[in-house]
Amino acid sequence: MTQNLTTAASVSDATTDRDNDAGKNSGWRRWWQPTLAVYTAPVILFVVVGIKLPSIFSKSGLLSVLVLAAVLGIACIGQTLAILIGGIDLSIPATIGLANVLVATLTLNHWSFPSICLVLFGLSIVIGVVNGVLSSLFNLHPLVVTLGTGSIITGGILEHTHGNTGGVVPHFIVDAVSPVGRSFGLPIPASVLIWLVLAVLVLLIERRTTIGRRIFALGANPTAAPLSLVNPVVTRIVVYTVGAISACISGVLLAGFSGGASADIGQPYLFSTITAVVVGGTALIGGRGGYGRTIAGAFITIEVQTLLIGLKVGVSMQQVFLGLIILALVATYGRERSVAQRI
Amino acid sequence: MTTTTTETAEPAQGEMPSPMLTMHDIHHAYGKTVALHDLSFEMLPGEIRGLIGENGSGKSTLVKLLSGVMPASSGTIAVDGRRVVFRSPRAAQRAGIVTVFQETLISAESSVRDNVFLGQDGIARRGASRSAERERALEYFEKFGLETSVLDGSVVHLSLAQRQVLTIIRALTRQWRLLILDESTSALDLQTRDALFDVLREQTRSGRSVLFVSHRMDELQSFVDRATVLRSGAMVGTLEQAAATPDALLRLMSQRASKESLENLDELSHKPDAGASVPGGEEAAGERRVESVRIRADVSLRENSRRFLIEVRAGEVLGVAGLEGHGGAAFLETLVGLRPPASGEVVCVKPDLSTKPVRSYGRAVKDGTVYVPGNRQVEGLFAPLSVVDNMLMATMGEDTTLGCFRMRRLLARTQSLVERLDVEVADIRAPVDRLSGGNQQKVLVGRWLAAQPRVLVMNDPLRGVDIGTKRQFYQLLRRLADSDVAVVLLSTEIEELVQVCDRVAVFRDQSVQALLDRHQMGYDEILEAMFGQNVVAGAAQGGAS
Repeated sequence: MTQNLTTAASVSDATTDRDNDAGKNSGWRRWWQPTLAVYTAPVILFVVVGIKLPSIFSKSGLLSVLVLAAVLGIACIGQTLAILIGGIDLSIPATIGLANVLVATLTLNHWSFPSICLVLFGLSIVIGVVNGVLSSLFNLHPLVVTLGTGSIITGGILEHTHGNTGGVVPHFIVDAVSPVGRSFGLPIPASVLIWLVLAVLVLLIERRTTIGRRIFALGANPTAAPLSLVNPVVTRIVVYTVGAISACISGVLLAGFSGGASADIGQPYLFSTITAVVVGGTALIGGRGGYGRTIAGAFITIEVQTLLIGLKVGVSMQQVFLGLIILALVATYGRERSVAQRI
Repeated sequence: MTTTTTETAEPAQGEMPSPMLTMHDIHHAYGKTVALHDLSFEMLPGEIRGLIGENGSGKSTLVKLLSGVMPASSGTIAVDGRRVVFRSPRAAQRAGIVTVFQETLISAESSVRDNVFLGQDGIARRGASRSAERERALEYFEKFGLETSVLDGSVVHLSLAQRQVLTIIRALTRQWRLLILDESTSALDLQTRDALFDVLREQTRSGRSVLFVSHRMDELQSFVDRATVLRSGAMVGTLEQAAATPDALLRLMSQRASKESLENLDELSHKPDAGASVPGGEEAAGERRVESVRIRADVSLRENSRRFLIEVRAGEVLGVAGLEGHGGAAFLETLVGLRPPASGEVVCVKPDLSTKPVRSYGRAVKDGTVYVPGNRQVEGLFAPLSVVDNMLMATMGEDTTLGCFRMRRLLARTQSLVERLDVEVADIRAPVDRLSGGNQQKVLVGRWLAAQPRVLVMNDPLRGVDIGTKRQFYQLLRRLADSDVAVVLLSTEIEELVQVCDRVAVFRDQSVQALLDRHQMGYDEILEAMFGQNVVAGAAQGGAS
């Protein structure tokens, strides 16, 4: 295996793919199948959806799916990292709502878009620090902490705007999520391009940086991590800050859909971010999985939703189906875990 | 194998009472590790039996089997001649076997009264009427010198000793026929302990029996009718009270079990005679020489434990011995800044003789002191992550440009560690939990060798590791010491300490019982000190020589 040293392989965790140079090492065969399933499922599902709804094969149909997946996929960055460290981030929907409302109301008040971004960035850091510090210092479960911060954020928006969350959305945001939108002269909506850039960045951070590996280490063994110089508080702060930033980006993009704003526009994303992460195969106990899988999970989630809508299944029944999918998958992945922890 | 040196219990000879408890051919293993083998054991009604043995001799396993914590791998247990299988602690209790464990199991949210009767109430109904309960409990409270007023108070305010009394009272108020005390008198003061012994002596007159597990020779001699010695999972003898002198018990405990497995280690010529005492001197083979530092600990581990001074010197392997819970592990954690001492200070002495206090783990590591924790699954490994991740987690930052890893260097560094430690691994990017236990342990040591330590502190790194790996480790430790690293090795295996260490500090009661030099540290000397039998002069002053 020494000759592998020269290949540009990643320091990969157990469950991420290694498809580039995988043929050379013996671990390849064992991981090929489950990994392949995760990445082929969106393609197969896409064809299945297409059989029922042939319009999805059109350019605009394809781009609609891509845009929806992009908004969800970006929001999932934070959820993936939070789940990787063995936590969860329930404040994502509220942060989406915050960004959504702020971009609309501040634009109405003639703020420039860069300054709005700066405000959102600052708020993200505050949210990340609060989530990270509270879930570290007082030994509170992140479930409770992020539920609390989420509730405070939503309450804060409603108090500040007196429930009047309407506003103006800059036209370029509307373009960014429109299937006919263009960027750099290409017929691709900006939101998809943003997702692509962010995805590459997150995958790089996961595999090629110290903080990335520390996120995995903290999730894999929270007792051993501090003994190996992984600072749990700093790591959590980074994770929840990145989570808040990604939620803000999704929130801004969502404003483009409605052309207006609402504090609870993020609510569906509570469930769908967790669905996408879990469907992708990132384990809720932490340390196993990664964003690559979540990308596949986001596509699967959007495609299932599209299919259900196409089949004229009501919103409530969609929830039921997604819930069943999560339960089935968690049960399956649970088996893998018991094997991993057999000692 | 079971040489029972018994001259039968004194009241019997003619009309031997039938045993109330019989264990026959008990065998128990945790995975590949055999904890008990071919154990047969009997207890008579009314008997007070002592049980003694060093760490890992199988005492706790025996107690767990009897109290229904787990079933034996094979063999039979019979109560009053009727075979029983305990599938739960409750089942054991129904058969009249009640156990008080070493850890004081207290429900902190409940009142003292509820703790006393914990588990005796049904979910809906109360076990007995409130006033009857009170009376029974208060009777014991008085006997054991507890204020009766605490009964209605909260458990939170009780001291460790009081909590231990509470768990004992909890057991006594149950319907017991065999009471097992698993090192559960360690925190009691003498007066309470004697009161407890009186109560138990009186209660055994009605045919109830007591199995008393203890590390204290004096307790065994004064309290029990007979004492049974366990060693390496087998019974090696049972002595009558009169014969159960500390000397005799120690002799039984130290009978080497199977020596052949360790024989091939003897060729490992450790202790090159000049090496250890002349730091910074001659050339070292294999390992890179480090800037030598010393760690001086002048501390007491607990509020009222004896203060001691130990200096960890560059170029030596310092062994740490002692029964579990007697301060050895706590000492290691204090050395590396994970646990503040109750009083005193740990300082790092630099080559220029300037000193720097060790106040936190992070700073200790920065100064070159690293810690390989004891429980590798819980405190060490990142099971789903790769060998590369596991080996370099603490030192990854060294191989980055603009925050990104230089993959080639990272992998090459891992590969060189793998070769240096001879880790058997097919793919260094595969998850570490595919490796065998011994190889996983090597990875953990590799994580800290990667940091190029000046002081390497290890908490029983070779528990459950095969003999070949052990041998490699011993050689590695020697090489490290020769290159001026200070090595601290806690081990539960006395043979191991005798094999590799230059000095051994034996801990007892949260302090150093003896600090043994190379010519003093035989197997028996270490064992005796572990059980508090000899205090080598100068132990309290430590290595200030």
